[in-house]
Amino acid sequence: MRKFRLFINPVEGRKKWLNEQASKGLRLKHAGRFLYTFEPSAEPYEYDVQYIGYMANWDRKEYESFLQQLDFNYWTVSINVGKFAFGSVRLRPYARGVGKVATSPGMIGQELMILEKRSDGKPFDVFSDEESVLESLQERQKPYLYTSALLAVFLWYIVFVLQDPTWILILPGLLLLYCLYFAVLLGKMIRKQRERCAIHN
Amino acid sequence: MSKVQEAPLTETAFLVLLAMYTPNHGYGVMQFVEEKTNGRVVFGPGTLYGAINNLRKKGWIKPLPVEKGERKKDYVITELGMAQVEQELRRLKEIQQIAIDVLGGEQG
Repeated sequence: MRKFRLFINPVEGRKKWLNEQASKGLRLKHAGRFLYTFEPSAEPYEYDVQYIGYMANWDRKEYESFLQQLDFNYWTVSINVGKFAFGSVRLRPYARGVGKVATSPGMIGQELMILEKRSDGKPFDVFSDEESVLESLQERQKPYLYTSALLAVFLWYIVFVLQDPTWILILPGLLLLYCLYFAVLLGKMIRKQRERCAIHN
Repeated sequence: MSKVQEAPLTETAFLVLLAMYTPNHGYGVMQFVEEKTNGRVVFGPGTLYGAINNLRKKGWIKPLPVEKGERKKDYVITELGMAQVEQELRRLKEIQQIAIDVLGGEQG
């Protein structure tokens, strides 16, 4: 069965929805950008969603091979944030090392990973200790901060320097608000997680 | 890279190092840790992958040559890694002793 779904919150929102489908006895067969295919399953499964956009191509491939060794099923899907495109080359200044330049195919359209685990009664989390949770939140915040800064400069330039505001600017304006919202939300989550890390490790 | 660090190890790093006193791969480390901690610690794949990469970069573990047709990558602890583990063990013993001293007779 096919389901169409758009997520405002690409990570937590997706995880929650996938696990709701799983609790109805469905198992993920295919994941696209908006379209998901499920099939009924007698076995219970659980899902988690991980941001992998900061990984360089070789790093992601190594991670995939690691997951295969551990017998995890996974799907890579796309979110569109923090990408600055020149033809098929995109810059991600917030990524690590050579990951800063994303080239198609491989790195573009593979920013998120959905992981599947057969339920064993314990919650399934890709990150199981406080430090790695903190690190993953920090990696997720970077593209939002970067895109927000880029859009803010762009809007400021058109409105105040060129003094040429048009209605079409409402679109980058809305995108800016969306990115700022997540930058702040993740900032709050990072602060909370830092407090946890100060006590537990 | 050649120095034994003073900072305490995280539980994750400590357990991964212990699991690699004999050559081990990701799945083996997961099983070792789950079994030894009676299921208290179950590594998520993202956490374990990150920990193995960090320890390898520090030179505390090293990958063994992959045999043809073998898809599992084995790692083993290095001398430097062992020195870290020994230092961590001394630190934990010291803390344990402090706790025993403070709790004194209250210890069941």
